Amino acid sequence: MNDTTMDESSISRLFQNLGELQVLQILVVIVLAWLSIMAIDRLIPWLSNRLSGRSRLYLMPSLPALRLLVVVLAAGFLLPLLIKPTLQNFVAILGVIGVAIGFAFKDYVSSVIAGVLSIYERPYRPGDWVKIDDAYGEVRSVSLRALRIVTPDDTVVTIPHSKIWDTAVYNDTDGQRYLQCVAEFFLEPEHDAKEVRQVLHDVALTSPYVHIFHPIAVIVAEQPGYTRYRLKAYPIDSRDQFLFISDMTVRGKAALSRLGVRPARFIVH
Amino acid sequence: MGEGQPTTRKTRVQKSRPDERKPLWRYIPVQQFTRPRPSARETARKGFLGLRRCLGRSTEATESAVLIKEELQSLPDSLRDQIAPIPDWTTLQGALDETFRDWLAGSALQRLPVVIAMPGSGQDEALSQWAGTHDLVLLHPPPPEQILAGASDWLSALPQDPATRLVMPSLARCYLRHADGLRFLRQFLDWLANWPGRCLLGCSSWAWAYLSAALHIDRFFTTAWTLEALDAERLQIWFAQLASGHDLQPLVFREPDSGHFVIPPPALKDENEEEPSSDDELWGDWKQSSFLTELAAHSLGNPGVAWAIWRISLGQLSAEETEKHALREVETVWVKPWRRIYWPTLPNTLGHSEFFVLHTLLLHDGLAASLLCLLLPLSAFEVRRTLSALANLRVLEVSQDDIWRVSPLAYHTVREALADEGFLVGEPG
Repeated sequence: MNDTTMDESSISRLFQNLGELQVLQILVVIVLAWLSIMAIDRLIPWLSNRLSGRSRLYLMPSLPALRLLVVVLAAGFLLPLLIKPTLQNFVAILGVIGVAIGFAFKDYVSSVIAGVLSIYERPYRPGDWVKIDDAYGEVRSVSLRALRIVTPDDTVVTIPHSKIWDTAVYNDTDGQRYLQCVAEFFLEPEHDAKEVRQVLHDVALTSPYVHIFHPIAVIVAEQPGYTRYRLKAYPIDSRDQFLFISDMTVRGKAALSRLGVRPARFIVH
Repeated sequence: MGEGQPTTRKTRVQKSRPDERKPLWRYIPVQQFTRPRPSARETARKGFLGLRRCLGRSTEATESAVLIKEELQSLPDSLRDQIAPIPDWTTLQGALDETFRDWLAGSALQRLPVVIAMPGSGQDEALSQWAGTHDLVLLHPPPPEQILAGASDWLSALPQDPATRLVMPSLARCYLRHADGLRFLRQFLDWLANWPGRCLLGCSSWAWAYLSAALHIDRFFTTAWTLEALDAERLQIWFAQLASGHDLQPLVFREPDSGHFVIPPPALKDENEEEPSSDDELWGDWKQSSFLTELAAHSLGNPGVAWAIWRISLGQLSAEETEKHALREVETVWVKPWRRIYWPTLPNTLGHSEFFVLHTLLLHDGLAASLLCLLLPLSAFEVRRTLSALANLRVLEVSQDDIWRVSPLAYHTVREALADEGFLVGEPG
């Protein structure tokens, strides 16, 4: 009986008395934090869209960090309002929360921790082009639990951060604006390869999408029954990668046709 | 407006007359080119306007409001043509003579010099006339259709005599940003490299920037020259010279709101005196406006752009106001204050087609619509629609032979927009 009474009194000592709880302050902190996160979620993408491509890349990655800052600040304000601010109380309450989370929200917390880690390790940032499992696309937002990417087919894919524990993340841009694009040509083997190489190089060089200060390369490989050309170049804006590849392909085909070089009819793999 | 009246305040104010001995036109090595800088006040104003624009507060409403309150009346075209006539680019010939004296004399060090010019700075015309003056052979580029087809006839007709001195006024007309368009230029450059004679080439700054990045032609031509930027002092001399070819009284150019002089009164000599009359005796103490400083910075020192803005900035007051503010012995031309001059702006919603069209036109120093269809991944309809939309914004202008160009008034805006989007821009300017 005495033990039970002691346990109840020790637990009740953890928290502020109900009468002492400053409900209004707690509500204000929660509402302010929520409003701040909403404002950040709207303001940063809005501002990014209005800025030029280069500035966009600097601004968008700050979004998850700002959001985390708001959450940490709100927690910092709330905890002393809810718990009597002594060391023992904090240790005890965090222990209880830890056990509860361990059982009930393991995956969620795993994702949140991975999300915090991703802010520092930066395996992906908004604006990057990434491939995680089968999903490939541009990272549009990074929240605490998950990232959202938009595929070239305009499909939004939400991927929890916990994927970074056990899955390889392929990042094509890694915080840069530039991304290498490859247009492939499969040609009948009887042609002047030197001339074709020069023409394909010029095709990339004269594309309005090309970032001219990045290297352009034409890789040639002879295969059974055909010659494979891989034209590699960088667009000015990574968002234009598919338009750029299409442009190189269309103009490359036209230029090769003018040269009298024909595409391979049968490709043997 | 009353404050525009010159006063006889005791305090001395800063005023300056340009150094007439300083040459108006001077060619310098391209590495020495520096752009005129705006005043700190103008930099702050532009920063504020940029922020407003970024936050979605369009400047169009401001423009309308100012136009309603506009107190200056536009000048009659005939008077404008007298005060700011179309520049005579033959005045560049003295500077060309000075710079290429060694080349004319046969110096081996300057076998293939290049003169780089910003769009609209009259270089093609000046070089063509200069070539005629010195009996040099003018190389006219082949038509675009021939460039795409290889222009083998044109290449085989090039002079073989090494004693021939060639002038090619516009290298920008010798290529097209097209796989076949670069092939022709490579062949021409190859011929130039092997030909032992001398050739002076002109090239627009945008074509030079592109060809330097694409073909590294900056390593091919060892000496590249460009016209020194027109700073406020040179603009003052130039505009005063342009305005001097008429029968009017000596002119002064002033801002109506402050009364400051954009171009100060000429130092008039009294008939019986050897020394010029004191400024203060004639017009009281006067202040110099920063208009030309801002104009020089905004135009990047480009004479064609500066002249176009100068023309639209000139106006006149009503007869009553003119009488009220008349000065002794001079005629006053009123100049809109810098902050009230509006040039074409680009909306925030520009897409690929607009940027591609603007960039391609600048790279080629103007093109026909049919060639734009060939060079860009746009249909003929898209090209026409984009050209019309940009022309409606007064960003583009079209000549009678259907050659589209970026308007000089919009040049600065377009250049900044393209640079912001990561496009290659003309260097210098």
